[in-house]
Amino acid sequence: MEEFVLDLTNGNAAEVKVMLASVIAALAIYQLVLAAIGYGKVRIPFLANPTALRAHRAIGDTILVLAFVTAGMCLSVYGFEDDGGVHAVAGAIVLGVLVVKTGIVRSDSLRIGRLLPPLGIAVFVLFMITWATSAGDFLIEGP
Amino acid sequence: MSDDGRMNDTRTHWPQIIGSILVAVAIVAITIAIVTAQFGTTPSAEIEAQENRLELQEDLADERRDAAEERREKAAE
Repeated sequence: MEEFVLDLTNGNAAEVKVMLASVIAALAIYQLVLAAIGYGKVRIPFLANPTALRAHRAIGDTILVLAFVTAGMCLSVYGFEDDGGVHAVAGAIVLGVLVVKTGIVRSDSLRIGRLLPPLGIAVFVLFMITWATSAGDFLIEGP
Repeated sequence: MSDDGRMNDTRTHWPQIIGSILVAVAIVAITIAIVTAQFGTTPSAEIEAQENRLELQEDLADERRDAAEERREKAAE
């Protein structure tokens, strides 16, 4: 797997991972804004609530795929390193919460949609912690 | 919006899901293209050599630390 990731990224796995994590972080901020508009907490004249929620859902699916690709790259190249404790734990939890949140959004039988806002905020915070403890370090201190 | 806060939408979601996945694949491909254009291709052998150099540096630093500690202990005796 490590060989495959290194071939795919032309040997720049760390740099690609940092870029993808930064794209996810930027999209997560945008998602927070869309959710605030969708739930009527913020009103913008040119963006209706249902449109904002549909965009939130579509971008959420993209983030889910990007998060799993980035996590796969991270695990295959670096594994669970001793000094990456916070990053590994936050990364693992965010993937789990993200899957649960997507499951609730997609499920017609589960009537626990009121859990979506707190789960969304948890996902956002965990994404930021995961980003700051890897990409943030990389961008500030270098590889 | 439904009673429990979810968005009511009875349309099929598959086109949206497939579209989202394609966008994610495009983002990964563009990211790899940009990073490769910026940093070039780093052969696996070079990465391994870099890792080996780093490990060697860490080992040397450990050895120096141990030696310094030993000297301090001897001096204290």
